[in-house]
Amino acid sequence: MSNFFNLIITDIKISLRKKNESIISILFFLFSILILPFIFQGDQDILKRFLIGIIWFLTLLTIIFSVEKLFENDYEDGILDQIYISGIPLETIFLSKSLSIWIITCLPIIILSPLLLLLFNIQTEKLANIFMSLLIGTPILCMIGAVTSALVLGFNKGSSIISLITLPLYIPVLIFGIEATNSEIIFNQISQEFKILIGYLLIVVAVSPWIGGLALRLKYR
Amino acid sequence: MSFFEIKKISCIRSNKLLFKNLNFKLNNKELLVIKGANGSGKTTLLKILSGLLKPISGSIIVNKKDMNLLKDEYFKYFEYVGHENAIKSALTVRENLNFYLKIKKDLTKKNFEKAIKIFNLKNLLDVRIENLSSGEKRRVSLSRLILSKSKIWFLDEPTNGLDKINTLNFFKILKQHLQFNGLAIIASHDEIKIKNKNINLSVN
Repeated sequence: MSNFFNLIITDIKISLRKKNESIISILFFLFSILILPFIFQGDQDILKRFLIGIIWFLTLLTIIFSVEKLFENDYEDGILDQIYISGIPLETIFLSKSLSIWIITCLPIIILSPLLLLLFNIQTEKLANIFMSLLIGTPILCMIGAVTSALVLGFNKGSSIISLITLPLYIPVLIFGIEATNSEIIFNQISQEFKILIGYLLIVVAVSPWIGGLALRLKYR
Repeated sequence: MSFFEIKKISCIRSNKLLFKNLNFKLNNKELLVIKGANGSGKTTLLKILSGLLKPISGSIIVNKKDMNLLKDEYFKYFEYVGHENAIKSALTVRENLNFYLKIKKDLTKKNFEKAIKIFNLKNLLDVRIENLSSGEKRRVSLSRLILSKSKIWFLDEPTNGLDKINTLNFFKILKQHLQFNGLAIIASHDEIKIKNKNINLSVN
């Protein structure tokens, strides 16, 4: 367990040092949202209708860009080899990498998104919804992205095809993420969409470490 | 019975046979030098020995046990310094060594000062790796060997980027390791003055 946290702490420390790389994805997200009023020419109604969908879509893009080379630097520098021969299970390496990229990329988005809704004056009951749906949905996106990144590791050819194959797995998160954000919480009962999102999260958490570990193990054959 | 034995190891990479039925035995205090032209499979052989690649056939026997079946136990026996330095460029020398001290059980903090002294890293301890020269980076990578308690060293071109003084320094350390009942397998183009066994891999 201590190895798991050591790997995460080291990754976070590195991303804080490489400020340019880690901040750029958040800035991409933030600026893309902030230019929306100019695109919709100040039409508040259209903005309110599409903002949540756009936030989700930009979150997906930000995560795809961030996780693309999640394992590549460590693999090319020989660090992944050293971590592997230190006896740490590849599943643990996979989980630690997924969690660290979630903390680095998604946590700021989860915190910023309700503030952006406030900025655009969207109904306040959706602030909690967007926070919760992103909190549940982004780990799913990160883990699917991490599996893709592990699968394409070391491949020069065919990596884009593998990335395309995993793309449909993101779509249910987008659909139910947007629906969950727009859903209403009645008598403190969570909506169906939230339940589906939680179910998807549990499946991904249970399955992806094994697939990710297996994909990494293929590099050591 | 030798402490370290390779039995009939064969390897094919990218549809090319690199070596077939390779055998050798190594005992305490012995050094094996792998020689061969570029592309002959020296790095591949070291990666196979380190468990980073799987041969198509053959086995590695350490201390009378077949290591194909006992991977986690095998990892404790050796320290591997590969072609790449395996150090994180955004971290300082100290942070890199501490990172490995935390994750690798065969490393011990007891020898931290010794490693710094031997590889003359004292003034570089708080410098980020990205600001070091290639020779300095190699010294950081090799300093892991001093922290290690492992009996076997697998080294891929260990003196790459090192100047004359540091190369001599490295071979002095290697000699000491062998004297203390260690074993080492090196892929190197250097002329090695320590008594050694050697195998020559040819490009097929």
